Amino acid sequence: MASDNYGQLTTILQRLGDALSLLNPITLVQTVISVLREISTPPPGDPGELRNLAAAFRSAAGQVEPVAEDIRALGSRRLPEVWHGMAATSATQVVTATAAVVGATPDAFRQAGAALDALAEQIQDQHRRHGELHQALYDAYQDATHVGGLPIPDPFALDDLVAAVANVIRGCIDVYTEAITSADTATGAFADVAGKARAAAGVAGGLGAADAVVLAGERVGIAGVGDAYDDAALTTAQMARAGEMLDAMPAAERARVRELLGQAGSTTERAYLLKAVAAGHSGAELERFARTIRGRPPEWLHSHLTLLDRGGAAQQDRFGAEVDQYDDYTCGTTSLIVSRAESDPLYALRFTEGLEEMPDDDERRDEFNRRFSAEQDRVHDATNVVWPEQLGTTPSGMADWMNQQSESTGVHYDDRLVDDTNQREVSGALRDVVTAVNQGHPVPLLVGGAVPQHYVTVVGHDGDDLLIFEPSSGSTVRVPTSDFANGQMGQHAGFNHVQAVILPDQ
Amino acid sequence: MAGYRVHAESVVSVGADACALADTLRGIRRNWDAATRDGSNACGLPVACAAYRAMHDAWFDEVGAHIRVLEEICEALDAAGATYDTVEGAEAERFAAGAGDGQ
Repeated sequence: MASDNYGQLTTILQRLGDALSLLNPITLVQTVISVLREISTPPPGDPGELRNLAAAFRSAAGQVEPVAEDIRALGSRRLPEVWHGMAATSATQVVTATAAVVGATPDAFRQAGAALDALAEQIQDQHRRHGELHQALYDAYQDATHVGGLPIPDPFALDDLVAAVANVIRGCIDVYTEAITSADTATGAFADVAGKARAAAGVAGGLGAADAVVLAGERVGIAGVGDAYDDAALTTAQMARAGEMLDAMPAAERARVRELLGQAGSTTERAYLLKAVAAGHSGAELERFARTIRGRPPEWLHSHLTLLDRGGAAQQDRFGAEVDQYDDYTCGTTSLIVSRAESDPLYALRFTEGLEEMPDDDERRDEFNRRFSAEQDRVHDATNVVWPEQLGTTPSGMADWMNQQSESTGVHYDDRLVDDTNQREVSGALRDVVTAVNQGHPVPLLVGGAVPQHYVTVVGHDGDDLLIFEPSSGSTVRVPTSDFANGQMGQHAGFNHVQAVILPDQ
Repeated sequence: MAGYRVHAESVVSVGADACALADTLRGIRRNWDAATRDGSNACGLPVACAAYRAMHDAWFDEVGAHIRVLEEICEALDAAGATYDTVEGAEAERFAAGAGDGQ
């Protein structure tokens, strides 16, 4: 973790740790002076100003709400009353989509307000405790260096003072460590809110504003799955990348792809086509893909162009076959395949194309299993060239394979080991996982108990929960972020502790 | 013909409402931005300050995209209304001319 993320706090914590380990009656006075200097300033942050910011976000949320209502009325009632026809339908669709994204703004602003208030409360508590500890340390200094008000060291009080000073230093370490955890938690919450600004990402990538707004509002609705949890058809990163990839195409190819987008039979179809654009496919591949999905209903698109039903916790299957690992050593492989399929609908289609034409359910299920197992074998071979396959996949092997897909994902992955006994490392890892997932990048995790044992993949985040794909059961599960931070993921992810994360650069 | 029915004046009026809503939203964003843009330092540690700025910037742009779409809707409806006015005006002239011919 970069020390400049936390300013001087990592240095202060290092020095406090050193002071604690060197503390004894002989070094007492010098240690107290040194620690008083180190903790002269409280953890940074301004609780009062944070509360003002929170109030401003909430106030804006309240003001946006009636605007969203008015836009909704324009789209649902007023415009259809006065204008009929194809152009009117398109205009109404844009107005309705605008009402939806404007209507989502108050929730995002209130979420920001809650995160700012929580940070204010934590910093205020840290300031209070810092003040008390600072005073206690100053009192200890007075006790160590004065007897009866005279500046004479008291040799009989030294042992008690050493113990008292040690407690104060431990308290300071706790306060500064909590300040780092608070900052990481707030960072994750801010990233969550930022990740919901999908239309802006589309516009920044080069999409037209109306297009971006309509696509930003497009959700993946799977009957019976979840509660609309992190279920955007296009992730924030894909919204931005689709426009960038279009811009990067030769003019003739770009014109043809725009034509294909214009011919899409529905917004859902167009969203998947743009997802394929974001995944970096050529004009010819997009042409064939567009023909394959033309006119397909949303249910067909969702079940063929992803391997995960988004929207919440669910058993994940395709054509009756579970999307899971087939032996004890392919959890990493399965996580990689699912991660790639989340980025690339043409890749996902390889597993499902044409299955509906098979005569019965058993054949469809068996054929999906055959294709999925074959890909698991191929990926497992590719990620374990030297490393024994019976030992699973290494974190660096996972990162290397993810990087082979960087043309699809647009990001570079690195593996990072996490010392799960170090709260600061776990907190920093959680912050970076949440930030990546909020942009729409899946993050494989290596989890275990005493030793690393299993891979799972974080595929969503909302509020205080992560959505994790667990390959041994082939299901998506909700995991509280606090379970990640506290090493208690066992109930949902099979093992308690996060031991490595495979993270994209941000 | 129900499929192509249009009340030109009403369409323009709906467009004007979209413009007004864009203005309202712009005003809300201006006040919110003034109150929150420079607030990142209150977050304390650099990592949180940077994340706050990223969140703020993302939503400034997001609301900007909403405003832009409302303005585009406004312009489009205004143009649609004007076009139908023109078409209807031409039709009226043609019918008037036809009526004159018959006299």
